[in-house]
Amino acid sequence: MTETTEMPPTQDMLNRLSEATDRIAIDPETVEQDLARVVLGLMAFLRQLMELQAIRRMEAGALSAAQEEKLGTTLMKAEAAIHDVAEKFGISPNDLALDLGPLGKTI
Amino acid sequence: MNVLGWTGDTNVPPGAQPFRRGRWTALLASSDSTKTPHARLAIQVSWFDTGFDFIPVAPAQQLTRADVTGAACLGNLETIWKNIEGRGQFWLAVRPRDEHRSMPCQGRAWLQTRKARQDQERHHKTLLDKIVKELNLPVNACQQGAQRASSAILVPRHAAQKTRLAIAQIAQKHETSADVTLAVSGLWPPLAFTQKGLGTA
Repeated sequence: MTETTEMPPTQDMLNRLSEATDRIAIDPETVEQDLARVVLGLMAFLRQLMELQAIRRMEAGALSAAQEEKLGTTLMKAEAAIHDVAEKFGISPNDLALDLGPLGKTI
Repeated sequence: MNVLGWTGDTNVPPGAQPFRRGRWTALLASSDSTKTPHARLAIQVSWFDTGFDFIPVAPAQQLTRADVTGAACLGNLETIWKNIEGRGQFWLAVRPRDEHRSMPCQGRAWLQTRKARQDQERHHKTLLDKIVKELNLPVNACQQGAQRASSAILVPRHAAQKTRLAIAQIAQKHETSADVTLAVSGLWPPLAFTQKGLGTA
């Protein structure tokens, strides 16, 4: 049975509420971090598309076990690498989701 | 001074500086107290909690008085106001009870875990859609990802408690696996329902 919980305002929720905008803000004082967020966000988005395609091929039985292992390892390491670089700019993995307005978020 | 919202009322909440633009008044707050999105949100929530009705600007946007002097959004305020007057939003999220499961470090197992997560997210979205449909209230687009599906629903202030009970009842009706939880939070200012058309020139 589904459990319903009353949620106190958590940090995560405050983040979601305060992010309610469809703009990417590039501020002159934080331009490096803002640009890094855009570039890394696009890389994270492309990586996720590749992951979805890999899962689709896996479901269709189009990959051998060795290919699944290789693809899985590559995608896993790519994600870790993107998160590592993002951390150097003080960007959390959640911040890599770019808001495309009516199309929703990228990841 | 930063703009935190708009009102058609001549009264403004404590701490807000009014700036009239035709029939509408921009609600300004000092830049020192509104440096971060969280600080801006906190002020908006404090205004909302006093029962004051206004059109909130997204806290992530740092709009100055100069920005709204040339605002192209004034024509949209009337439409937005009609939709949100006397209302707030509940935030609903369907998510796994345990969000921090460790991921395998072998490529194939990792990919299979991601597939299972994707299936789970799809299931969460279906469940949330069912709940929201039964509530029959205005809803924003469901956001999916990070193992959860979430939506905001627009609720009349006077019906907040009734809606909260209805959500609990509907959620209990739906048989799901024991590892799913529905989180409900609110009442918040209707941020998810005001951002379209609030762009600046």
